[in-house]
Amino acid sequence: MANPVGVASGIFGYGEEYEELVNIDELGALYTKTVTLEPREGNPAPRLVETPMGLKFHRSS
Amino acid sequence: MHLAFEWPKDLQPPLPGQFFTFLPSMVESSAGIILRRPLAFAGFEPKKNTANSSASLSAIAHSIYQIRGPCTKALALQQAGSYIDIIASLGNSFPYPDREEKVIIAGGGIGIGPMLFLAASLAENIAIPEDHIENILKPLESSRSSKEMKLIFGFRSMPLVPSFKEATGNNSIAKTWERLLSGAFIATDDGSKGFHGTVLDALEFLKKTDKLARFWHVYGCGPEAMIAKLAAFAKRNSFPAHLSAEQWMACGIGACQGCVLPARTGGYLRVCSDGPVFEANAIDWEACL
Repeated sequence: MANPVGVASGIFGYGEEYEELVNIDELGALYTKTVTLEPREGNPAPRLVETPMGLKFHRSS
Repeated sequence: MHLAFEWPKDLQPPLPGQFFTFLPSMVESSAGIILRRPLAFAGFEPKKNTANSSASLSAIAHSIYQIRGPCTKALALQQAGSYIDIIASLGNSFPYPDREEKVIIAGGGIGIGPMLFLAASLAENIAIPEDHIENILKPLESSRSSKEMKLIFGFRSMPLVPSFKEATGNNSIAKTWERLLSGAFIATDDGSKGFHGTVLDALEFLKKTDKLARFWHVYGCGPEAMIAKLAAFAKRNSFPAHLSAEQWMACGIGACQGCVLPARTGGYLRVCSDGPVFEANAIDWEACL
């Protein structure tokens, strides 16, 4: 891998959302949010909880 | 509180309804804050040339906010001239009304910020000089203009009704806000100033007293309960409505899917990137409460 830095799944979406801010081609890897064959509705808000150690997300069901 | 910051020359000006996020790096790390905080734009002053042709005043973006937690508390303690890490402009904006539409601009609490921006922009857009803004806020019964605009702002109590007389930075924006506020129909929940009741009570009152004709375009921003009732009011009266939503956010650009609201047609819409301004029927507001 030319660049050992990858962005974790979760707040980097599917990459395209950050196109205006970051050149995603420079990343070594991009781990997307979950992709499923059939659409899933997802969880209601609130989905986020901020904690001193990081951000907690509701798991998609 | 009032935040004003210099706007880069090469960036498109913000539009009413849009927001920005700031990095609360000024907050003690022990507070455990990691997310950027969103704030709505409350005004924008384009670059102005001064009498001295070699100098010019930079464009300035404005926001108003309440101190609610450690981030806004720390922001309020910043000195003039401080640097702040901002991502802007984010989200969509309020669509302008059709030429013949009259406008209701409803704001609740600190939600009046984007509504002041919208009102000032509409006033400019219809080419009325700034010192004539109050003329388009004249009482409805005496107005026959197609450019009418009615501001209805609600607060819990009189001490929460803002005054912009001491707003920092360039004074012209504060004067615009003061003028808009003085022309607004003010409601307080406890009746300590203006109309006794909520924004919705005020709207219903104006409706009953026949001061609201048909074909008003409703714009609103405020607490969730107010927005839900505003959507129901607009639907009952067949008024078009665009409402700005608020939600906890992480990324602010549509990637994390954290700030969703239930869509009327099923699924969810992201406040940060599908909104924050939504056509009133797009969201199941009652389900948000």
